[in-house]
Amino acid sequence: MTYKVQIDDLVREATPAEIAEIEARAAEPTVQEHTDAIHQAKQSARTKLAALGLTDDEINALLGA
Amino acid sequence: MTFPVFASGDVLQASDMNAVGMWLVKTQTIGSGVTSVAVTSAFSSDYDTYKIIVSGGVAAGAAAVGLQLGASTTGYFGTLIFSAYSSAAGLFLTDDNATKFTYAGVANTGGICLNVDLTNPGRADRTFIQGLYANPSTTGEAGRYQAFHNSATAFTDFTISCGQALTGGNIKVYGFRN
Repeated sequence: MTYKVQIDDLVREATPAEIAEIEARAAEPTVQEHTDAIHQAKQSARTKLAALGLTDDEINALLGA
Repeated sequence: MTFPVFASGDVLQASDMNAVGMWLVKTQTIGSGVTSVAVTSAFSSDYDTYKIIVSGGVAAGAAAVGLQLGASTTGYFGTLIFSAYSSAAGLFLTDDNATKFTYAGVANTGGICLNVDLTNPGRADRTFIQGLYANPSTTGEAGRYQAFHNSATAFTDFTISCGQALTGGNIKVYGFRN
C-alpha cells in the first residue's frame, strides 16, 4: 500500500521508513477503542463487585457513575 | 481613529497596529489522502504563543491527530481528559514520554478537530499545549488535552499526523502579539 505525506505544498509518496511509522500509527488503538475497553472492564468489575454484595451506590462510589 | 473599529480611509497608526493581538502567520491547505502534513517556518521569536486551527477537511476514519514539534520524536508528556458521549464517566489517556502530542486533535469522516494553543514553540523553552478534542462522531468522545514538551528547544516547524488519511481543509497558524 502506498501512503502520501505532505511538506508545505509538496505531496509525495512516503519513504519506507515513513511507511513503517504510518502503519505503526494506524495500528494503535483509537481513543474510541480505549474507551470501549475501559467500559467493558468497568462493567466486568461492576458485576463482580455486585456478586460480593456491594450496593449500587457503593459500586458507583468506587468506579464512578 | 478609534481602535479597534476602523473607518474607510483611516491612517493606520503604529500604536493601533501594535495593539493588534493576533496575526495570521501561515496558511496551509491539506492535500488529498495525506497521512501527515509538515508546516515549515511557522514559529519564530516574533511570537511567544500561537494558535493552530484546522478548518474543513475529513479523515478516512476515526483517529487522533498528533502534533510533532520540528523533528523531535521524544519528550512529549500530557493528559487527555475525556468522556464518551454515551457515558458521563470521566476517562483519561496519557502521553508519557510520547513521540508526539498524541491527542492534539481528532479526526473522522465527519471532520477534523484541531484547535490548539501553543506557548513557547519558537523560544528555547519548554513548549506547552492545550487543545480541544471533540470527535465528530455520534458514537465518539470529547475532552481536553494538556501537555508539554520536555526540551528547552526553539522550533520553526511542526507536523500534524493521523492514523487515517486526511483530505482537504486548511491549517491556519496565528501568532499572539508579545
